[in-house]
Amino acid sequence: MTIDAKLKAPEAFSEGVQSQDPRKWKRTVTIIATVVLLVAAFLYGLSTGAVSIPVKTIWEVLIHREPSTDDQIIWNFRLPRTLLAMVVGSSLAISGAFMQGVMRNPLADPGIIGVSAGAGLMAVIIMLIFPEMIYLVPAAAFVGAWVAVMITYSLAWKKGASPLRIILAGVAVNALAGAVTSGIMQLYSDRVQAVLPWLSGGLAGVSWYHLQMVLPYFAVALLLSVFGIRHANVLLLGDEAAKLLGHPTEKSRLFLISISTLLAGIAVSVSGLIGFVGLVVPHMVRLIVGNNYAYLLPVSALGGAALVVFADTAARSWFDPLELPVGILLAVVGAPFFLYLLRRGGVFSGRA
Amino acid sequence: MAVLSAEQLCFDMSQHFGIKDVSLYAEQGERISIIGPNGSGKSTLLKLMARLLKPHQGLVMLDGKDIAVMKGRETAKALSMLTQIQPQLTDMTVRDLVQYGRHPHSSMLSGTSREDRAVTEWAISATRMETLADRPLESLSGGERQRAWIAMALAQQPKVLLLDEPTTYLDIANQLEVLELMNQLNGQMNMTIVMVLHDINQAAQYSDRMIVMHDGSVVHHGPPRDVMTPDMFESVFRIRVRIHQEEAYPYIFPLAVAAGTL
Repeated sequence: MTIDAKLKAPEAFSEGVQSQDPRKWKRTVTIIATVVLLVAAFLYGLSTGAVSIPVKTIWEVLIHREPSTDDQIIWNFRLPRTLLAMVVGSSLAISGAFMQGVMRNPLADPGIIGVSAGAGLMAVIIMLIFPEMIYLVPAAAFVGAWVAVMITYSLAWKKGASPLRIILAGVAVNALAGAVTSGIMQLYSDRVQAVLPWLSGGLAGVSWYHLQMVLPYFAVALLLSVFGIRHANVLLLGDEAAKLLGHPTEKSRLFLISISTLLAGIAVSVSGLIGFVGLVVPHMVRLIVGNNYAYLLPVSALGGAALVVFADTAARSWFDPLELPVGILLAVVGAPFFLYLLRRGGVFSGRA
Repeated sequence: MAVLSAEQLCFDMSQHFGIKDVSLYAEQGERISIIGPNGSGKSTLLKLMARLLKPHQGLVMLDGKDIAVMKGRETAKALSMLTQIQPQLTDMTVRDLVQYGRHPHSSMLSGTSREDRAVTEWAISATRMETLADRPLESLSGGERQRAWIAMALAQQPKVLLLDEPTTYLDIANQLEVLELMNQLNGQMNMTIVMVLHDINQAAQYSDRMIVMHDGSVVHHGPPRDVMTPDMFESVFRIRVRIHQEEAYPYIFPLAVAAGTL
């Protein structure tokens, strides 16, 4: 191939070029579709239950607040629960999306660095050993998540913390915390019944109180996540290329791990151990919109929220009068779907 | 004045391997090739100069400033590097990748400026990637992908471009294309080019000065015709060669592995 004799100057391109990225449409459509999905989930959540409330009534009750049974049901029970399901779903999904980016591993989720194990251990300690302080469970789970992550991170640190070292340290912390949790459950086997719903993850019995408790943290985490987008995108290039762009990779990783822990901690404190969402939602979204966090993150957040609202509503209404923990339903429906994606190719064939 | 210089760099990779007391400089607008056998420390030296590795002793000066105390972004505006192995980026398009080159010039709040866009398109055009700009990287050939990464490095608008074996794994036409591009950037923009090359004949053809490394030290440096002597090839590369002249460049024809080394 011959080479043009003269390079143009950068100024010659000041007009710019309209990008013909074929994914532009797909991304726009996906964002709109997830918003629609979330609205649908929200209405489904408010209308479904022991008493079925038509959408038209929901609208009236939300706007006008006329004293009625429907008003009571929606405002006292379904609305806080649905909103919390949204907070939990989007927290888990964003947390997982960042974790997969930081660890450069499509199988990463917040659990990999010890979030669930740490939160689980602390919650079990409170519920079994100090049951009179049961109201402390959310706070204890939150603290447990953070402590476990800090231990993992400092174990992994050796002139920097590479993703591989973090994952290996996480395995150790998970194993240890898991063992202590099992030990405690053996010792207090007479009370273990109380712990099981929490360990499978569910939103039974949540109220405005829980929402008020986590909302400030959630707002801060969302704001930080917006800043995290740029960091996560640069880390996609790998450490060397990111450093060559002058990007502080270690600080970025720590920043994103902190956001991820904060979000996972929020979710775990109100809903217990809900797995699957943090792993699979960002993963599926990635297949549609690609790896760019500017799209991956908002779509994951909306999709995660919609998924948990749908699942939680189903979990509390399909098996009436029984209520299944939403974590169980998510796993039972989600795992086969995940396998289907895997068999179809794409998930592990280098696209993520 | 030297735009990039290294002074008495020491770096221990392992017990048997490291950089020992290496000093060198590159003038603005110079084309330098670093050659040497496997394990002689060429890539390590390049990484030390690009701040990917921290020297245990010595310092690297870029534009008269010690890079160890410069801000990462400041370094990245003056120096970029094409690494030997790039990560697999699947769905990212060429333009997405090239835009990353503007990272050191922009911030979270400023977003993408008009200038950023112009420079991105310029880098795409300079590497002749216009028709491929919206293609995902996974759909490109090895040579095209290499050009995309070079375009990203160019979008940083560096004064100095370091390249670690930019032609390895490319077919001969793609190799020449990359090297011609370096000549162009050097000739027309006065960009300083420092590259590690394995093909010694290409190094002779495309550089003003050669640096020969052996066991972590610089053992020869100078214009190719001075450096490329049968004695140097015998002592450093352990081969016997015949040296010809081709279009004013020295050209080696390897004869055999030097006696006593096998």
